[in-house]
Amino acid sequence: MTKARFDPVIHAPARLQLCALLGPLQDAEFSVLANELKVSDSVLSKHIKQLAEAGYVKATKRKSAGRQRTWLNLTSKGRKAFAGHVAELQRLAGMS
Amino acid sequence: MSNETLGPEDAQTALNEVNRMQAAATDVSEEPTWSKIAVALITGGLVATPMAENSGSMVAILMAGLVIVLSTGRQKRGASALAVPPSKKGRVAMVAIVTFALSMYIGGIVLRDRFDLSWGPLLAGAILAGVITVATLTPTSDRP
Repeated sequence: MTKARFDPVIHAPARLQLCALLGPLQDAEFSVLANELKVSDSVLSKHIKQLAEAGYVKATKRKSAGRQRTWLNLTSKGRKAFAGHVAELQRLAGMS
Repeated sequence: MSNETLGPEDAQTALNEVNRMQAAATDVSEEPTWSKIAVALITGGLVATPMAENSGSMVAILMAGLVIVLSTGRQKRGASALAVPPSKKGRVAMVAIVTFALSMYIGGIVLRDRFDLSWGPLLAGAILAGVITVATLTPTSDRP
């Protein structure tokens, strides 16, 4: 069972969206994430850096069609933290 | 913002956003129709391999085809879904399909060896390909 735990690293709107987007995915390419979140590359990079520093997101660079692309995935630590944060949000939402 | 200052409405708004993004993730990682049909045919082909004389080579060719189809789709979409679905319903469906595929494989061999029907594995493969095609092309409301 997931332990409900508020996570300030995840709670910022853009990072919460990013974790929610990566949750059901094995991995996703940087440009796809920027497009879905409707944020600029620099803003997305900043949030990814914060999540990566917490050990929640891992970036992998791969070459495809002659271009270097960055693929991102939630780590198991990130999945656990995200599940805990969502459980805490559900607990708080149920208080009304 | 901490959880002490977060009200029920804020929490609900955040949860709605989580649901919206998870639905977007499901859409972005959705395999195109051609890919779903190709995977169904290749899986059916794998079940039908006991019919082939050189089944080892057939398995290798089909597995290579499966890898190419899946990796091409992944590169084009820029995202791939989790191999094991996050929802309980998705995991149950996956176990059901794997169990069905294995029973079709065994059923094909039984038809060939016990009843002397050489086309048994081909029939089993065709049924499996049909079932997977219908299952994957049917719209579902299953969201993580």
